[in-house]
Amino acid sequence: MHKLNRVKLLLGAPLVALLVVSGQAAQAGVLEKVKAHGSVRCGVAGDKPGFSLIDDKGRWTGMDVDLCRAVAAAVLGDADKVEYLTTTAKNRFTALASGEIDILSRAASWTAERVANLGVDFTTVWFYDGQGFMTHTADGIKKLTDLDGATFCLSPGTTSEQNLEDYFGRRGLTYKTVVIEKSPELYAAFQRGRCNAISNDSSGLAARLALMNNPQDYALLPEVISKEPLGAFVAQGDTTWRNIVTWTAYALMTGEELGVTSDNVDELRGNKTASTDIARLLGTEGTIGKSFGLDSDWAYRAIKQVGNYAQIYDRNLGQQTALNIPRGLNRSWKDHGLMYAPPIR
Amino acid sequence: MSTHRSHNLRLSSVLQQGLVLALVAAVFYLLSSNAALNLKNLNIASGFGFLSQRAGYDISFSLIDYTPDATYARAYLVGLLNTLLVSVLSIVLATLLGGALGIARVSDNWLIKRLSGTCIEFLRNVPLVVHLVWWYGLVLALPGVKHSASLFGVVFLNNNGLNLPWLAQGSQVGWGVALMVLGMLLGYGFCRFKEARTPWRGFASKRWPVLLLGAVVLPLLVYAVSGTQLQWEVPVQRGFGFKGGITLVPEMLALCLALSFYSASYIAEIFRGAIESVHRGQYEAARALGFKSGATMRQLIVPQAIYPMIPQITNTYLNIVKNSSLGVVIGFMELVSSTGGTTLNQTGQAIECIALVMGTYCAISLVISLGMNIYNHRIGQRGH
Repeated sequence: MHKLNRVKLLLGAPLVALLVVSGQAAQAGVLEKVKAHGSVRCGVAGDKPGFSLIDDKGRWTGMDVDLCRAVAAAVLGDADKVEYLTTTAKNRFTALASGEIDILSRAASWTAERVANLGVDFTTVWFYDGQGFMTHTADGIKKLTDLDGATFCLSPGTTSEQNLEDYFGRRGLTYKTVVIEKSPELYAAFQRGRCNAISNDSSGLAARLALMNNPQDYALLPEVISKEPLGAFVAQGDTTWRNIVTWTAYALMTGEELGVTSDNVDELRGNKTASTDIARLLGTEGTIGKSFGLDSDWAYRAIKQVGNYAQIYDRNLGQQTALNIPRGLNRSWKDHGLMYAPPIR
Repeated sequence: MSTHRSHNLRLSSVLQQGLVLALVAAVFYLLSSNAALNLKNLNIASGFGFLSQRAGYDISFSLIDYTPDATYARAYLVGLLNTLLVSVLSIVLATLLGGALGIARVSDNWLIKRLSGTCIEFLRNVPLVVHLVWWYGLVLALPGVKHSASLFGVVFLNNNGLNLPWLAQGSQVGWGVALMVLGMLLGYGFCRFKEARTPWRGFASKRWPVLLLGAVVLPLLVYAVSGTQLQWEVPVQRGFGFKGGITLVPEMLALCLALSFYSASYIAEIFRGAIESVHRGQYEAARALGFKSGATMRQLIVPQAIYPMIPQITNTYLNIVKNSSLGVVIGFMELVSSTGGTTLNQTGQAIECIALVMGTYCAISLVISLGMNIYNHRIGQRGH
């Protein structure tokens, strides 16, 4: 009897392992997985002020975090049902493609190469950014070409190494790089004079500069050398889930456009004279939510619990915050920005 | 009856082992085919074709010519050479430092013994990453480029690195090293030739002066005969940094120092253990024969301690090679940062890049193991 058990174990353990491994080949939809799991697993950077960072009260805050919270509110009815996993620039797409996280909301740039080769789909642009530069004020650098022969601090796995080569290499300028993975170490190396300039997404640089002890010692250059449309990625091949994340973002933008905020959303939903656009957004008219595999209150809950795009922006990056990043391209199209959500109908 | 039972036992043990082996093979097969299927389903391209594409990123320190226009394969080679360079430098430095600390640790002098002991305990009880960050911080605390510390106006030290004069044509350095190695090999051959004609090994002269002579004379001879012009380039401060010469980047200096000091503490303890493992009778016999304490150590004790030391030293050397991958923490472009980092990110070929890095480390480790095993075997054969 004892021996039989051992043989069973010997045969059984690998078989179970096989089932587990091969189980991922035939994937259930992410929506079903999220509902069964009771939370949205959200891959964030975790060290980017204004985008994803744990605040002094131990709560996750930031633009990237709020997108995940909005999705959790739309899908599960509670913005707090998010499980945050910090990902590095290196492992982020692998974590997403292998199903370890449901959404990658990590200020990652949308590029053709990533969508074509990495097994991931882009949802929609959540923040328009570009690659900028920060220098030491003492060096008196006025424009980018003054940095011929300089050393640049960069973070790996981003598009910034290639952008730098595209800009400097093509102009016959020389440069050196120091590539450090962790942001705190990277900025420390720059501040201690290892590099003449640090290059990263402009928003990230502005955020860091705002939090430095001696911001007057550093200067941001006016040039931006690349287009970096940042936003959430989902794993390829699940259109239902991709639609949910994409349209949750659109719902928040539409909220700003129609003047629907977390404060007046209840009033507007009960108001029979509100416009049909608002009625469709808040689910009092039409069946869009059901078609997405959700209920009709999905967008209402997202706006109610997280706020519309303007509220999210102001809370994380706006004038009241230490970062104070002007909205620039991220204004609504009505204010001559690029934030333009397709109609929800 | 008993033979029948033992036969049965053997058969069942073979069967069991075969079964386990088959299962392991099946698991590996399924894992890999499943990964391949998933990659295909997710539209992730696979294969090593990306290695021939343009890398498009800069590497701050390289032993061979490298520009961002080079291929990913070239970037891999640069990373590999950087890993090897840091490992070799650290191994040499750690062995010298560790040997000195180890011998000081068994000294009869109370003060030297305690000082060495304190050093060792301090060094080995601090995690390597802390060593690394500490050294990097220290190197970055050096004066900036405009206030470099200079030695005779040719060597400059600042927080952007150590600038040394170097030959104008990099390829000449490679030839020089090759000739030195060849000179040493010739010297070694000469020694073997002479020793074969000596009736007893004890009468043979020492080998190292001959090897050194070979290493010096041959390159000089070739230099004189070929009439090559050697041009030294002295680093000159220009713009943001130094032009000319060679720059040892701070990341490399910090990594070498951290690896050397950390590993030296382990090597010191291995030295001490091996020296203490030599039987007390040997010391007593040496004293009875009138050996002085220094000579006892050099000629009797250390030679006997080397044999038991080798397997552990091998482990330490392997650890140095593998730990050099921590260069990624401070941004030194070794194998893990180049191929396992930027290349992986730009191409997205995670499985291929990681496999390449793993395979390379495995190969380096096996070569070191093999070399040390051969050395161990030969010392064992020579007897002591």
